[in-house]
Amino acid sequence: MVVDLNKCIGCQACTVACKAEFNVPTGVFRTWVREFEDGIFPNVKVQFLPSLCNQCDDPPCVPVCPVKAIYKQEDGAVLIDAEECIGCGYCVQACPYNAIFLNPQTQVAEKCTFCINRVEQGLAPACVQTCVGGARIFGDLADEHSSVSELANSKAVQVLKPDMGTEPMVYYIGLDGKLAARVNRGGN
Amino acid sequence: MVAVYLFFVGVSAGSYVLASLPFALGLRRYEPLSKLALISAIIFAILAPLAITPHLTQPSRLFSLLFSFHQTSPLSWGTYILSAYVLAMLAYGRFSFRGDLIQRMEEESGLKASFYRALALWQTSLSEESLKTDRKFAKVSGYVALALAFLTVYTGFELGVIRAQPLWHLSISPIMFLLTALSSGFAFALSLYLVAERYFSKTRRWNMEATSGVSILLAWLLAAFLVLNAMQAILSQYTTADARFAFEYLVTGPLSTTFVWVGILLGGVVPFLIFTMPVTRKSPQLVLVGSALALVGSFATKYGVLISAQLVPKTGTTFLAYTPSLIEFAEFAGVVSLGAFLFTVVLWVLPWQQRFRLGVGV
Repeated sequence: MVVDLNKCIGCQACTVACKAEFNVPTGVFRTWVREFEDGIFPNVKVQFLPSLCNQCDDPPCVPVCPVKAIYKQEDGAVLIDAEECIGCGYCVQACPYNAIFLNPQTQVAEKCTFCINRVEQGLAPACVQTCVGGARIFGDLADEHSSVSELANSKAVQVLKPDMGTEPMVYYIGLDGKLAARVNRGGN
Repeated sequence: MVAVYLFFVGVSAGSYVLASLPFALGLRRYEPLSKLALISAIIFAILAPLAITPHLTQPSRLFSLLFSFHQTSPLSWGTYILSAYVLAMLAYGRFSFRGDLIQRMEEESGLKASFYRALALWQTSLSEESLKTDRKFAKVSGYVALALAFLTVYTGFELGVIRAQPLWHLSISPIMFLLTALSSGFAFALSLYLVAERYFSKTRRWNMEATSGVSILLAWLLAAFLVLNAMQAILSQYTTADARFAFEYLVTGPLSTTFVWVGILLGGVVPFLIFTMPVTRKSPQLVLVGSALALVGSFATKYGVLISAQLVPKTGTTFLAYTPSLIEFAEFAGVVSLGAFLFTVVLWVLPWQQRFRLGVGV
């Protein structure tokens, strides 16, 4: 997935679509849009950062799971087997992107799956389908002719926390400067 | 409750190392504490998984940990290590305690005698041949349990492998866990010995040579604990910006009182002074206070590191807040009460004061 931050207007339509698609309870999110304020009054601006599981190529959540409930498919999707998860929360700690949570209703770990249920039926992920500004572009990165590949290859793209070495599969356009520094260095 | 689990595993491993000093290193001066230390090690190893179970959102699936080994997960390794460790200690206890049980059985009559016979698994012979078998199996199971006690350092790896938490992801994390395991285990066994000899024994007298010996060991362990914390502080300044920030937040943020004042000063420096100075070391009451403080220090530093790291946002700028819930307090009280109950029953029932000499140290 490629997320063009220049097109995100922070409407949270993606957050709502995802909640509706997966019946995600209040207080937890599979995807959400974070807001960052920058500048000093009166010269201030708000920047938006759509956040979700990065479906890492080297996902740190997978090796720590004690019961192999999290696994990576050949197509690149990192999934959680709800029938196997014991709810220890180890993956929640291991994820550098805060993308995994313990669902208070199902009592198991949960996260974005790139809407694999929809993709298998030829549909776009719910957040991509609903994005007002067309900021989320989804496709097969292995296919060099896909729109997502063309974007990733033609534009300057960044990933979150590149120093973690997780090789995320979510690329951002416009994630640079102060925003990148604030996002990538937790707390400081 | 995760901090309690990590703490309990450490206390168990440290207690067992103390229990094994007579047979593993021939340090017979610690024999008066070894049976109590073994009892502590077994009870804490049983309590540890009970402490972590309420933390799981699917506690009914706890046993699936035993049937789905994942070689890259320290938690998976820990399941097998802890299980094998408990079994090895129980085996060691059975073979090394059998002589004491039979002695007690012979002192009692009727139902009580039958009870001790059952505890000895109805093997009541004290012939040289049966004692030889006991010695053999006690030695094997004792060394296996000792190796597994050191392997419980997996708890350090549980935190150390998490790259996303820079405060945990330090190469000295496992060493720190090993060290606090030894200090907390020694401190608990020493406290138990002082309390049990005072309130549960017939003699009501302390063996000051053993007490003083463990105090000196504790002084060394606490010195190493303080040095390692200083090393952690220095190293965190030169690794990554995230690690530096996380450590600064630990010593200046909401957990600073817990970590610095309670963990390092009250639980490290003060007991170190108590155990170092000959005047204070000779006072059982002060040694008991020092041991209790060392235990508190071990828990407080673990709690501080565990919680403080989670308050720092991994991405973004919004800090999190954490206050233990009433349910967590209730769970903590439940596990501690169960521990107190087990210790009371075991000290009442098991012949920990018998001095049957099997010949392997206990």
